[in-house]
Amino acid sequence: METEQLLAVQNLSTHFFTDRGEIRAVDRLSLQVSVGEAVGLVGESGSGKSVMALSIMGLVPMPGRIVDGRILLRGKNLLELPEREIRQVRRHEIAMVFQDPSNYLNPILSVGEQIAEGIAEAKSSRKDVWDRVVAALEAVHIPEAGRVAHSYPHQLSGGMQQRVVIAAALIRHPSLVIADEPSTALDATVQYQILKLLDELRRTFNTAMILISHDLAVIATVCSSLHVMYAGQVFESGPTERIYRTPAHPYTKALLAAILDPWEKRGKALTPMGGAMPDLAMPPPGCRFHPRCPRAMEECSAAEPPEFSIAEGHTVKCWRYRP
Amino acid sequence: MRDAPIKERREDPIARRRRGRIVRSLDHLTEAWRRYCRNALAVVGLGCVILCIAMALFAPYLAPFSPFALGSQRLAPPQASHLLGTDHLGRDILSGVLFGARTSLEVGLFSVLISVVIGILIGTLSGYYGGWVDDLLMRTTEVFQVVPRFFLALIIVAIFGPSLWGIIFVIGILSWAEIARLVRAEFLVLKARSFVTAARAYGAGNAFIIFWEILPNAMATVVVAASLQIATSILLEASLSFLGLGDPETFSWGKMLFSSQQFLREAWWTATFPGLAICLATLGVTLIADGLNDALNPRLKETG
Amino acid sequence: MSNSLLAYMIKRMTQLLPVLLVIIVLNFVLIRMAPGDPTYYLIGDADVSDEYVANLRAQMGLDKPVSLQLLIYLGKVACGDLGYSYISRAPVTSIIFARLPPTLLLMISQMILAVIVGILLGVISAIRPRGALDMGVTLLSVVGYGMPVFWLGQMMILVLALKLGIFPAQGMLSLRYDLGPVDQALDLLHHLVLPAATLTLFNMALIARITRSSMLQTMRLEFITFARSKGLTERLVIFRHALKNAILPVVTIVGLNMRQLIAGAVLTETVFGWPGLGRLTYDVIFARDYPVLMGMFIFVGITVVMANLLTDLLYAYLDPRIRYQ
Repeated sequence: METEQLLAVQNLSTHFFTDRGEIRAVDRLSLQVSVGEAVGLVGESGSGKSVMALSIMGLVPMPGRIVDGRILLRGKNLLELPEREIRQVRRHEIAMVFQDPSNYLNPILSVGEQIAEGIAEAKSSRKDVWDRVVAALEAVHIPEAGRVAHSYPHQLSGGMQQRVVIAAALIRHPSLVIADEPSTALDATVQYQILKLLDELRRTFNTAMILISHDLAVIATVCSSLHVMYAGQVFESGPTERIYRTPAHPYTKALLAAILDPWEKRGKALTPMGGAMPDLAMPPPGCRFHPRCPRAMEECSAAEPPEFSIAEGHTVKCWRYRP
Repeated sequence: MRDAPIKERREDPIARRRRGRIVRSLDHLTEAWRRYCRNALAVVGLGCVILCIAMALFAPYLAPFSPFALGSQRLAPPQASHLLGTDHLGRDILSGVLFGARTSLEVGLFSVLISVVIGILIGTLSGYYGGWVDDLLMRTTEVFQVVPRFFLALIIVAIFGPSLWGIIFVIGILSWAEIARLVRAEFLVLKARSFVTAARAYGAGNAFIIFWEILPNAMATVVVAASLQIATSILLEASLSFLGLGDPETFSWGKMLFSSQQFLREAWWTATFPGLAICLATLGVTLIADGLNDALNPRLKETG
Repeated sequence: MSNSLLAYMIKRMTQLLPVLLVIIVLNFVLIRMAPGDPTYYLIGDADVSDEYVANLRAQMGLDKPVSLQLLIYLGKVACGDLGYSYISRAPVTSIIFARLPPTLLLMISQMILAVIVGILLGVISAIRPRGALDMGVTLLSVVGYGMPVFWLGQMMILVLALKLGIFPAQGMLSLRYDLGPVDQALDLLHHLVLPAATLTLFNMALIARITRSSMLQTMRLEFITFARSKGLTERLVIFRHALKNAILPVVTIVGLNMRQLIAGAVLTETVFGWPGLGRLTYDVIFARDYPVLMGMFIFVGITVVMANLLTDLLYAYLDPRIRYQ
């Protein structure tokens, strides 16, 4: 299996400059994605995972700004590219699938047009482009693709809309797809279908994927490795199965414990996590999780832990794993 | 959030709620006032309007002449004795401007008062009771909104003769539609909200809910809309006067512009200063309305 | 036009019909309440016999009960008979249609200019908030909001016509008989500039302001992010995605402001002596020529109702969410 590195995010920091202060939404975050690999990004709302995705795409909204770090796509730093080349990257290399398709599709353009404009070049004929659009819709298993292509977003169901968004993403044959909570806004049954679709397309086209979700189960369905994100930082990363079986970081353990497993023995008490995400304008000193951590120690409030490697490809950012 | 006083009282929960609401409202108001003052344009607007009010209130003391006083110097340019010049009948422009402020402010205030009262009444009935009452009232509102207001006012004043209070009344009864809609919208939104249900749980009656729960929420938008209407009322009155339909017994800026039409070439001051006064008033009121809007309904500002 | 669009139109028409009816009935009521005898408008001070007056009254249906008179009136209006001018004895309808073209010319030219320039200004100032152009647009809003349109006209006459002499101060055409057709057309344009500029400035302010705030709101919506993520040029994002969406509230509000156009027409034509319907209104008020005035009211009412309908139609056409229910 090819393990060529496609995307390397190094020490990325994205801050929001608001009236309340400088919010460190993404704080010195690093991750790698290899060609054809599916990487997961797990975290609660407010952990900064969406901001991460937008940072890679260069679409961080005001008043946010990337303040530090590098984003290397096949070795080229995206943050140093001129606007024109970034547009090329968005067109051909990286595509994004968003959370709520009903908000992310333009309500007054037909679905086909919105897919077509991703690939239409000055010299391509309209018929060619439209054929490709219909083909893309068929690839995401939309029935009556030809008719649907002329429809408007409000005429389609949530699941269909999301398939359209996926079609728009994959029609460009990107090397990387970033899917930000692609199934969260949909019904439970449709959720699973969408995830399976993404997985199938990834394998068919050998597209790398970053799947973002607050739901560990979702990530586990598709991703071979995952990163656990909290308050703008990655707390743990490694192969999915390993983390599932032997979670290292207390936060990861709490996340896993908070999941309701229907096959678990009855009578097991719910263990929700106490407290809330820290104020990212003034994060607590030391490890950001220590106020809520059931296993916090002295050092945790003093200094931020570095990443410790505890196994092949498995790293944790926690003082408890100091070798 | 401020709580009710700590000491235990077997107090009627409705009265306590009412007091809590007053306290909260005062808090909101002071907060809004501070927000308002930070807005430069809004403060400018307030200044303009205060100036106009001063002109209106102190006109009898400030004006060197009576605005109706015919003088010997016709169409005299601005000079020491007549700071803003005179018109074709020798009347002092400055005095006219000062007294004209009274007319405009009277028209602005009272016509809006009328339209706000009618608007709130109709909006409340429509929004609170719904059903066929709502339908009927909304049809009526739509008629009042579509009918060309200026033209109708024109016709009514032309037919029945110009009088200040007639004009005020006409403007008032033609302007309530927007406010009615705003109030109704607030009712529709808030009627189903939880705090209304909570109030009912206290045993609050309909009137209480209307006056103390829903209307205060609607006040913010109504105040802004009413302020804007003051500006349009002033302009409407000025327009009517400009066409010669102003009350002959009162002095109005529009009327001054009406008489200046023929003498534009010789006497630019007869048109410039009254018009500037209208601009001052309407601009001031509009800026205040905008400032109120920003202060009472703060939105996320774009920074960076 | 799809079926749903047609159905929507019919629904709107039935909603607006009562308005028209109200206007006509109101007209009737106002005429009856107007001081003076209705026959006076036809006879004036002429020396006629009482018998003639009685005949006339019978002819005009004045001896019939009021409700019947109303029906007769409604019937007449439906046939386009709006009565006769007191002064000229000409049918009101023909008077109105004779004075319509200059007003149309003025209104259409300023509407086109105001919309195009206003939208452009609004878009540009939304893209560069707090830039120089944005400040300019805000300043321009002052014109639309704080200045009476007739005063603006007076000032324009004062400066550009009387002091600088660039444009004529009044009227639509110069009183010259020696101009060829091309020169006549140019002369017309020359006279058109000031009144059209006044109205354009006035309406442009509102359109720019609304476009600006609508664009600012739209640009923050999520589908803009999606469009950008596809690698589209910023120009495409702004014009195809943002503007097309942002324009919808602009259409609504411009439609609602049709009434302001009427006021603007009357006032501007009066200031500039432009021989259209607005000026006619002014003249007629002074002459106390009530039939023409009331006829104008009905005409204006019909225009406003139609304008509302057209606006709704335009909106429904532009927004597929309404077109395809």
